[in-house]
Amino acid sequence: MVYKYFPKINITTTVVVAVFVLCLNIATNSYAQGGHGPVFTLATPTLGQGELSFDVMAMSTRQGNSAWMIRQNWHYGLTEDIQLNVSVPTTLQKIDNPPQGRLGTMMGSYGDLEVSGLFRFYKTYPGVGQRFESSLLLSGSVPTEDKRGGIHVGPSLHGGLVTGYASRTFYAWAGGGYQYYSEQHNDQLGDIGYITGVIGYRPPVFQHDYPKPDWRIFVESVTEWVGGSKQNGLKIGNTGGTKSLLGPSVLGLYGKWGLSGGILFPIYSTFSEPQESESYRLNFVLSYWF
Amino acid sequence: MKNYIASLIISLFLLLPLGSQAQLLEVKQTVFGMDCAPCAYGLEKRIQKMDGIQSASVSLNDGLLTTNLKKDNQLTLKGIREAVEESGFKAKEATITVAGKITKNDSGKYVLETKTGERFLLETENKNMQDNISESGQRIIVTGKAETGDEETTLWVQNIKA
Repeated sequence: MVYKYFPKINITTTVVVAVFVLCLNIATNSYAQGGHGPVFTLATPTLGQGELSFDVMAMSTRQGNSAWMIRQNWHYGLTEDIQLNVSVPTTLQKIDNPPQGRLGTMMGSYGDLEVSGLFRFYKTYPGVGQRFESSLLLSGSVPTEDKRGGIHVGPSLHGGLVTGYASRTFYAWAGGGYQYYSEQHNDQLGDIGYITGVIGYRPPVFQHDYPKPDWRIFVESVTEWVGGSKQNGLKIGNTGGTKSLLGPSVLGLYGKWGLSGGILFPIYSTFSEPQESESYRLNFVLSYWF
Repeated sequence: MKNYIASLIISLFLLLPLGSQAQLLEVKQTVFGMDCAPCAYGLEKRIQKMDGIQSASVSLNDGLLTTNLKKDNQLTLKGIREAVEESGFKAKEATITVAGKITKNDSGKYVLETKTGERFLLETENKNMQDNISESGQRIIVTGKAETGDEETTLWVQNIKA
Protein backbone atom coordinates (compact mmCIF):
# COMPACT_ATOMS: atom_id res chain seq x y z
CA MET A 1 0.00 0.00 0.00
CA VAL A 2 1.57 3.31 -0.98
CA TYR A 3 0.64 6.51 0.77
CA LYS A 4 1.15 10.01 -0.57
CA TYR A 5 0.40 11.83 2.68
CA PHE A 6 3.56 13.89 2.34
CA PRO A 7 5.13 15.24 -0.83
CA LYS A 8 7.30 12.76 -2.75
CA ILE A 9 11.02 12.96 -2.15
CA ASN A 10 12.03 14.58 -5.42
CA ILE A 11 15.43 15.47 -6.81
CA THR A 12 15.38 18.99 -5.35
CA THR A 13 14.56 17.71 -1.89
CA THR A 14 17.25 15.02 -2.17
CA VAL A 15 19.86 17.61 -3.09
CA VAL A 16 18.79 19.88 -0.23
CA VAL A 17 19.06 16.98 2.22
CA ALA A 18 22.49 16.00 0.88
CA VAL A 19 23.79 19.58 1.11
CA PHE A 20 22.35 19.93 4.60
CA VAL A 21 24.09 16.71 5.65
CA LEU A 22 27.41 17.83 4.21
CA CYS A 23 27.15 21.32 5.68
CA LEU A 24 26.73 19.80 9.10
CA ASN A 25 30.38 18.77 8.75
CA ILE A 26 29.62 15.26 9.56
CA ALA A 27 30.98 13.25 12.29
CA THR A 28 31.15 9.80 13.50
CA ASN A 29 28.81 7.04 12.90
CA SER A 30 27.32 6.28 16.24
CA TYR A 31 27.12 2.66 15.21
CA ALA A 32 30.57 2.50 13.72
CA GLN A 33 32.18 3.20 17.03
CA GLY A 34 35.77 3.96 16.10
CA GLY A 35 34.94 3.03 12.57
CA HIS A 36 34.20 -0.60 13.11
CA GLY A 37 30.57 -0.54 13.02
CA PRO A 38 27.46 -1.83 11.49
CA VAL A 39 24.73 0.70 10.81
CA PHE A 40 21.72 -0.54 12.81
CA THR A 41 22.98 -2.97 15.42
CA LEU A 42 24.97 -3.04 18.64
CA ALA A 43 28.76 -3.09 18.43
CA THR A 44 31.53 -3.03 21.00
CA PRO A 45 34.36 -0.69 19.94
CA THR A 46 35.19 2.50 21.85
CA LEU A 47 37.32 5.48 20.87
CA GLY A 48 40.84 5.85 22.25
CA GLN A 49 41.40 8.09 25.25
CA GLY A 50 40.81 11.74 24.40
CA GLU A 51 39.62 10.99 20.86
CA LEU A 52 36.66 12.84 19.42
CA SER A 53 34.46 11.91 16.53
CA PHE A 54 31.25 13.21 15.07
CA ASP A 55 28.82 11.89 12.49
CA VAL A 56 25.70 12.79 10.67
CA MET A 57 23.18 10.31 9.45
CA ALA A 58 20.18 10.63 7.20
CA MET A 59 17.60 8.06 8.19
CA SER A 60 14.30 6.99 6.83
CA THR A 61 11.62 4.59 7.79
CA ARG A 62 8.30 3.86 6.22
CA GLN A 63 5.21 2.84 8.08
CA GLY A 64 2.46 3.75 5.73
CA ASN A 65 4.16 7.04 5.02
CA SER A 66 7.87 7.81 4.77
CA ALA A 67 9.65 9.63 7.55
CA TRP A 68 13.06 11.26 7.19
CA MET A 69 15.34 12.34 9.98
CA ILE A 70 18.85 13.66 10.39
CA ARG A 71 20.88 12.62 13.44
CA GLN A 72 24.02 14.32 14.63
CA ASN A 73 26.17 12.30 16.99
CA TRP A 74 29.17 13.28 19.05
CA HIS A 75 31.48 10.67 20.56
CA TYR A 76 34.30 11.18 23.04
CA GLY A 77 36.74 8.65 24.48
CA LEU A 78 36.95 9.39 28.21
CA THR A 79 39.34 6.47 28.47
CA GLU A 80 40.16 3.78 25.93
CA ASP A 81 37.32 1.73 27.47
CA ILE A 82 34.70 4.39 28.21
CA GLN A 83 33.05 6.37 25.46
CA LEU A 84 30.47 9.14 25.92
CA ASN A 85 27.90 9.85 23.20
CA VAL A 86 25.29 12.47 22.43
CA SER A 87 22.76 11.90 19.68
CA VAL A 88 20.53 14.75 18.50
CA PRO A 89 17.64 14.15 16.10
CA THR A 90 16.24 16.61 13.60
CA THR A 91 13.03 15.57 11.91
CA LEU A 92 12.84 16.48 8.25
CA GLN A 93 9.69 14.68 7.28
CA LYS A 94 7.34 13.56 9.98
CA ILE A 95 4.67 10.89 10.01
CA ASP A 96 1.71 10.85 12.38
CA ASN A 97 2.35 7.38 13.72
CA PRO A 98 6.07 6.60 13.61
CA PRO A 99 7.18 3.03 14.24
CA GLN A 100 7.95 2.02 17.78
CA GLY A 101 11.45 0.67 18.18
CA ARG A 102 15.01 1.86 18.31
CA LEU A 103 15.72 2.79 14.71
CA GLY A 104 19.38 2.44 15.48
CA THR A 105 20.21 0.53 18.60
CA MET A 106 23.10 2.75 19.60
CA MET A 107 21.49 6.13 19.09
CA GLY A 108 17.97 6.37 20.38
CA SER A 109 14.45 5.94 19.24
CA TYR A 110 12.61 8.00 16.67
CA GLY A 111 12.67 11.64 17.82
CA ASP A 112 14.60 11.07 21.08
CA LEU A 113 17.65 13.06 22.09
CA GLU A 114 19.91 10.54 23.77
CA VAL A 115 22.99 10.72 25.97
CA SER A 116 24.83 7.46 26.51
CA GLY A 117 27.94 5.84 27.84
CA LEU A 118 29.59 2.80 26.31
CA PHE A 119 31.80 0.85 28.69
CA ARG A 120 34.10 -1.80 27.21
CA PHE A 121 34.49 -4.00 30.25
CA TYR A 122 36.20 -6.96 28.63
CA LYS A 123 38.84 -7.15 25.92
CA THR A 124 41.39 -9.64 24.73
CA TYR A 125 43.72 -9.56 21.77
CA PRO A 126 44.39 -12.97 20.20
CA GLY A 127 46.65 -11.65 17.46
CA VAL A 128 47.49 -8.96 14.91
CA GLY A 129 44.31 -7.11 13.96
CA GLN A 130 42.09 -9.19 16.26
CA ARG A 131 39.97 -8.36 19.28
CA PHE A 132 37.35 -10.12 21.38
CA GLU A 133 35.49 -7.62 23.51
CA SER A 134 32.28 -6.96 25.39
CA SER A 135 30.63 -3.65 26.16
CA LEU A 136 27.79 -2.26 28.21
CA LEU A 137 25.66 0.61 26.88
CA LEU A 138 23.65 2.80 29.26
CA SER A 139 21.62 5.77 28.10
CA GLY A 140 18.92 8.23 28.92
CA SER A 141 16.77 10.09 26.44
CA VAL A 142 14.33 12.94 26.30
CA PRO A 143 11.79 13.31 23.50
CA THR A 144 12.00 16.25 21.11
CA GLU A 145 8.24 16.27 20.64
CA ASP A 146 5.29 16.35 23.00
CA LYS A 147 3.40 13.50 21.37
CA ARG A 148 4.28 10.53 19.23
CA GLY A 149 1.46 8.74 17.48
CA GLY A 150 -0.99 10.75 19.56
CA ILE A 151 0.57 9.61 22.86
CA HIS A 152 2.49 11.90 25.21
CA VAL A 153 6.14 10.84 25.24
CA GLY A 154 8.24 10.84 28.38
CA PRO A 155 11.96 10.46 29.02
CA SER A 156 13.38 6.95 28.80
CA LEU A 157 16.17 4.83 30.20
CA HIS A 158 17.98 2.21 28.18
CA GLY A 159 20.55 -0.48 28.78
CA GLY A 160 22.24 -2.82 26.33
CA LEU A 161 24.94 -5.48 26.37
CA VAL A 162 26.98 -6.57 23.37
CA THR A 163 29.85 -8.94 22.74
CA GLY A 164 31.80 -9.69 19.62
CA TYR A 165 34.86 -10.15 17.52
CA ALA A 166 36.71 -7.82 15.15
CA SER A 167 39.56 -8.69 12.83
CA ARG A 168 41.09 -7.78 9.50
CA THR A 169 38.73 -10.21 7.75
CA PHE A 170 35.67 -11.08 9.82
CA TYR A 171 33.39 -9.28 12.25
CA ALA A 172 30.58 -10.54 14.44
CA TRP A 173 28.58 -8.97 17.23
CA ALA A 174 25.55 -10.12 19.20
CA GLY A 175 23.70 -8.22 21.85
CA GLY A 176 20.46 -7.10 23.35
CA GLY A 177 18.90 -4.37 25.39
CA TYR A 178 15.84 -2.87 26.97
CA GLN A 179 14.32 0.59 26.90
CA TYR A 180 11.77 1.89 29.39
CA TYR A 181 9.63 4.97 28.74
CA SER A 182 8.36 6.90 31.72
CA GLU A 183 4.77 8.01 32.05
CA GLN A 184 3.89 11.48 30.79
CA HIS A 185 0.50 13.10 31.41
CA ASN A 186 -0.96 9.67 32.12
CA ASP A 187 0.31 8.32 28.79
CA GLN A 188 3.14 5.87 28.34
CA LEU A 189 4.85 4.34 25.33
CA GLY A 190 5.46 0.63 25.46
CA ASP A 191 8.82 -0.71 26.59
CA ILE A 192 11.19 -2.02 23.93
CA GLY A 193 13.20 -5.18 24.37
CA TYR A 194 15.49 -6.18 21.54
CA ILE A 195 18.28 -8.39 20.34
CA THR A 196 20.66 -7.71 17.48
CA GLY A 197 23.14 -9.74 15.49
CA VAL A 198 25.56 -8.83 12.74
CA ILE A 199 28.29 -10.50 10.74
CA GLY A 200 30.77 -8.61 8.61
CA TYR A 201 33.36 -9.42 6.00
CA ARG A 202 36.25 -7.46 4.52
CA PRO A 203 37.03 -8.96 1.10
CA PRO A 204 40.74 -9.60 0.40
CA VAL A 205 40.73 -6.92 -2.29
CA PHE A 206 40.08 -4.36 0.49
CA GLN A 207 42.58 -5.73 2.95
CA HIS A 208 45.13 -3.18 1.82
CA ASP A 209 47.27 -1.58 4.41
CA TYR A 210 46.58 1.84 5.90
CA PRO A 211 46.01 4.42 4.52
CA LYS A 212 44.43 2.79 1.46
CA PRO A 213 40.60 2.66 1.29
CA ASP A 214 38.99 0.02 3.45
CA TRP A 215 35.52 -1.42 2.71
CA ARG A 216 33.50 -4.10 4.34
CA ILE A 217 29.98 -5.52 4.11
CA PHE A 218 27.62 -6.56 6.86
CA VAL A 219 24.41 -8.52 7.23
CA GLU A 220 22.45 -7.13 10.14
CA SER A 221 19.38 -8.29 12.02
CA VAL A 222 17.22 -6.75 14.72
CA THR A 223 14.32 -8.28 16.63
CA GLU A 224 12.22 -6.01 18.82
CA TRP A 225 9.53 -6.82 21.34
CA VAL A 226 7.49 -3.67 21.78
CA GLY A 227 5.07 -3.39 24.66
CA GLY A 228 1.59 -1.95 24.35
CA SER A 229 1.15 1.76 24.99
CA LYS A 230 -1.12 3.45 27.50
CA GLN A 231 -3.27 6.55 27.05
CA ASN A 232 -5.04 8.35 29.89
CA GLY A 233 -3.91 5.51 32.10
CA LEU A 234 -5.60 2.85 30.00
CA LYS A 235 -3.89 0.27 27.85
CA ILE A 236 -4.42 0.88 24.15
CA GLY A 237 -5.51 -2.24 22.35
CA ASN A 238 -3.64 -3.44 19.30
CA THR A 239 -0.45 -1.57 20.15
CA GLY A 240 2.89 -3.24 20.50
CA GLY A 241 4.08 -6.43 18.94
CA THR A 242 7.14 -8.26 17.77
CA LYS A 243 9.13 -7.55 14.64
CA SER A 244 12.30 -8.87 13.07
CA LEU A 245 14.23 -7.06 10.39
CA LEU A 246 17.15 -8.18 8.26
CA GLY A 247 19.31 -6.47 5.66
CA PRO A 248 22.71 -5.51 4.31
CA SER A 249 24.95 -2.60 5.05
CA VAL A 250 28.31 -1.41 3.84
CA LEU A 251 31.05 0.61 5.53
CA GLY A 252 33.87 2.40 3.72
CA LEU A 253 36.80 4.03 5.50
CA TYR A 254 39.62 6.21 4.22
CA GLY A 255 41.93 7.82 6.74
CA LYS A 256 39.74 9.84 9.05
CA TRP A 257 36.60 9.64 6.92
CA GLY A 258 33.92 7.03 6.87
CA LEU A 259 30.87 6.45 4.71
CA SER A 260 28.26 3.82 5.41
CA GLY A 261 24.73 2.90 4.54
CA GLY A 262 22.27 0.12 4.94
CA ILE A 263 18.69 -0.99 4.74
CA LEU A 264 16.64 -3.41 6.83
CA PHE A 265 13.45 -5.12 5.71
CA PRO A 266 10.90 -6.77 7.98
CA ILE A 267 10.89 -10.54 7.80
CA TYR A 268 8.47 -11.14 10.65
CA SER A 269 5.85 -9.01 12.38
CA THR A 270 2.96 -9.51 14.78
CA PHE A 271 1.87 -5.89 14.68
CA SER A 272 -1.80 -5.92 13.84
CA GLU A 273 -4.29 -3.43 12.43
CA PRO A 274 -4.77 -0.55 12.83
CA GLN A 275 -0.98 -0.42 13.33
CA GLU A 276 0.89 -0.18 10.07
CA SER A 277 3.75 -2.55 9.33
CA GLU A 278 7.16 -1.02 9.07
CA SER A 279 8.27 -1.31 5.46
CA TYR A 280 11.97 -0.63 5.84
CA ARG A 281 14.67 1.18 7.78
CA LEU A 282 17.22 3.10 5.75
CA ASN A 283 20.33 4.86 6.95
CA PHE A 284 23.22 6.79 5.37
CA VAL A 285 26.10 7.97 7.52
CA LEU A 286 29.10 10.20 6.99
CA SER A 287 31.73 10.06 9.71
CA TYR A 288 34.79 12.08 10.67
CA TRP A 289 37.48 11.43 13.28
CA PHE A 290 39.21 14.54 14.59
CA MET B 1 98.58 27.21 37.60
CA LYS B 2 96.71 27.59 34.31
CA ASN B 3 97.62 24.03 33.37
CA TYR B 4 96.35 22.80 36.71
CA ILE B 5 92.98 24.54 36.27
CA ALA B 6 92.64 23.23 32.69
CA SER B 7 93.37 19.67 33.87
CA LEU B 8 90.82 20.03 36.65
CA ILE B 9 88.13 21.20 34.24
CA ILE B 10 88.84 18.36 31.78
CA SER B 11 88.73 15.84 34.64
CA LEU B 12 85.40 17.18 35.80
CA PHE B 13 83.96 16.70 32.30
CA LEU B 14 85.29 13.15 32.21
CA LEU B 15 83.57 12.43 35.52
CA LEU B 16 80.20 13.79 34.42
CA PRO B 17 77.67 10.96 33.70
CA LEU B 18 76.42 12.62 30.49
CA GLY B 19 78.36 10.35 28.16
CA SER B 20 77.02 7.18 29.75
CA GLN B 21 73.36 8.11 29.13
CA ALA B 22 71.73 6.34 26.20
CA GLN B 23 68.69 7.30 24.21
CA LEU B 24 66.11 5.61 22.07
CA LEU B 25 66.60 6.05 18.33
CA GLU B 26 63.97 3.76 16.84
CA VAL B 27 61.07 1.69 18.13
CA LYS B 28 59.23 -0.97 16.13
CA GLN B 29 56.29 -1.84 18.36
CA THR B 30 54.04 -4.80 17.60
CA VAL B 31 50.40 -3.89 18.25
CA PHE B 32 47.50 -6.32 18.58
CA GLY B 33 43.87 -5.31 18.05
CA MET B 34 44.00 -2.76 15.21
CA ASP B 35 41.52 -3.84 12.57
CA CYS B 36 40.73 -0.79 10.45
CA ALA B 37 41.70 2.64 9.14
CA PRO B 38 40.51 4.81 12.06
CA CYS B 39 42.44 2.54 14.45
CA ALA B 40 45.63 3.26 12.53
CA TYR B 41 44.80 6.93 12.11
CA GLY B 42 44.13 7.42 15.83
CA LEU B 43 47.33 5.65 16.94
CA GLU B 44 49.49 7.39 14.35
CA LYS B 45 48.11 10.78 15.35
CA ARG B 46 48.65 10.09 19.08
CA ILE B 47 52.25 9.01 18.58
CA GLN B 48 53.10 11.87 16.21
CA LYS B 49 51.95 14.35 18.86
CA MET B 50 54.50 13.05 21.38
CA ASP B 51 57.45 15.35 21.95
CA GLY B 52 60.57 13.81 20.48
CA ILE B 53 58.97 11.83 17.67
CA GLN B 54 60.51 12.46 14.25
CA SER B 55 58.21 10.16 12.31
CA ALA B 56 55.63 7.46 12.95
CA SER B 57 53.81 5.06 10.67
CA VAL B 58 51.35 2.26 11.26
CA SER B 59 50.84 -0.99 9.37
CA LEU B 60 47.48 -2.70 9.95
CA ASN B 61 48.41 -5.91 8.19
CA ASP B 62 51.66 -6.33 10.10
CA GLY B 63 50.26 -4.90 13.32
CA LEU B 64 53.32 -2.68 13.56
CA LEU B 65 53.98 0.84 14.78
CA THR B 66 57.33 2.16 13.51
CA THR B 67 58.75 5.30 15.11
CA ASN B 68 61.94 7.21 14.50
CA LEU B 69 62.90 9.48 17.35
CA LYS B 70 64.61 12.87 17.30
CA LYS B 71 68.09 13.40 18.61
CA ASP B 72 68.11 14.26 22.32
CA ASN B 73 64.54 13.03 22.78
CA GLN B 74 63.18 12.35 26.25
CA LEU B 75 60.98 9.47 25.22
CA THR B 76 60.79 6.08 26.85
CA LEU B 77 59.70 2.72 25.51
CA LYS B 78 57.25 2.60 28.41
CA GLY B 79 55.70 5.90 27.28
CA ILE B 80 55.26 4.68 23.73
CA ARG B 81 53.68 1.44 24.93
CA GLU B 82 51.31 3.39 27.18
CA ALA B 83 50.24 5.48 24.19
CA VAL B 84 49.36 2.26 22.34
CA GLU B 85 47.23 1.09 25.26
CA GLU B 86 45.50 4.49 25.52
CA SER B 87 44.48 4.11 21.90
CA GLY B 88 42.64 0.93 22.88
CA PHE B 89 45.13 -1.69 21.66
CA LYS B 90 47.69 -4.06 23.12
CA ALA B 91 51.43 -3.37 22.97
CA LYS B 92 53.28 -6.65 22.47
CA GLU B 93 56.96 -7.19 21.70
CA ALA B 94 59.16 -4.35 20.45
CA THR B 95 62.42 -4.14 18.56
CA ILE B 96 64.33 -1.05 19.58
CA THR B 97 67.54 0.73 18.72
CA VAL B 98 69.28 2.46 21.60
CA ALA B 99 72.49 4.50 21.52
CA GLY B 100 74.73 5.02 24.54
CA LYS B 101 77.60 3.81 26.66
CA ILE B 102 77.44 0.48 28.39
CA THR B 103 77.94 0.24 32.13
CA LYS B 104 77.81 -2.72 34.51
CA ASN B 105 75.25 -3.16 37.25
CA ASP B 106 75.88 -4.62 40.72
CA SER B 107 75.42 -8.15 39.36
CA GLY B 108 78.04 -7.56 36.71
CA LYS B 109 75.51 -7.45 33.87
CA TYR B 110 75.77 -4.91 31.09
CA VAL B 111 73.23 -2.09 31.17
CA LEU B 112 72.26 0.83 28.96
CA GLU B 113 70.49 3.61 30.84
CA THR B 114 68.76 6.50 29.04
CA LYS B 115 68.59 10.14 30.11
CA THR B 116 65.06 9.52 31.32
CA GLY B 117 66.22 6.75 33.63
CA GLU B 118 64.89 3.85 31.54
CA ARG B 119 67.25 0.90 31.95
CA PHE B 120 67.93 -1.83 29.40
CA LEU B 121 69.64 -4.97 30.62
CA LEU B 122 71.63 -6.41 27.74
CA GLU B 123 71.36 -10.14 27.12
CA THR B 124 72.48 -12.37 24.31
CA GLU B 125 72.97 -16.08 23.73
CA ASN B 126 75.46 -15.41 20.96
CA LYS B 127 79.08 -15.76 22.23
CA ASN B 128 80.44 -13.44 19.58
CA MET B 129 77.88 -10.83 20.57
CA GLN B 130 78.87 -11.25 24.23
CA ASP B 131 82.47 -10.58 23.29
CA ASN B 132 81.44 -7.53 21.30
CA ILE B 133 79.56 -6.15 24.29
CA SER B 134 82.37 -6.74 26.73
CA GLU B 135 85.00 -5.29 24.42
CA SER B 136 83.05 -2.14 23.60
CA GLY B 137 83.67 0.68 25.99
CA GLN B 138 82.79 3.51 23.74
CA ARG B 139 79.40 4.74 22.63
CA ILE B 140 77.54 2.04 20.77
CA ILE B 141 74.25 1.54 19.04
CA VAL B 142 72.39 -1.59 20.11
CA THR B 143 69.40 -3.12 18.34
CA GLY B 144 67.43 -5.84 20.01
CA LYS B 145 64.12 -7.30 21.09
CA ALA B 146 62.83 -5.69 24.27
CA GLU B 147 61.11 -7.69 27.01
CA THR B 148 59.57 -5.33 29.54
CA GLY B 149 59.74 -6.19 33.21
CA ASP B 150 58.68 -4.48 36.44
CA GLU B 151 61.87 -2.52 37.03
CA GLU B 152 63.90 -2.79 33.91
CA THR B 153 63.65 -4.05 30.37
CA THR B 154 65.73 -6.90 29.04
CA LEU B 155 67.13 -6.19 25.60
CA TRP B 156 68.03 -9.32 23.63
CA VAL B 157 70.82 -7.97 21.49
CA GLN B 158 70.59 -8.61 17.76
CA ASN B 159 73.14 -6.12 16.51
CA ILE B 160 75.85 -3.83 17.87
CA LYS B 161 77.46 -0.95 16.06
CA ALA B 162 80.28 1.20 17.36
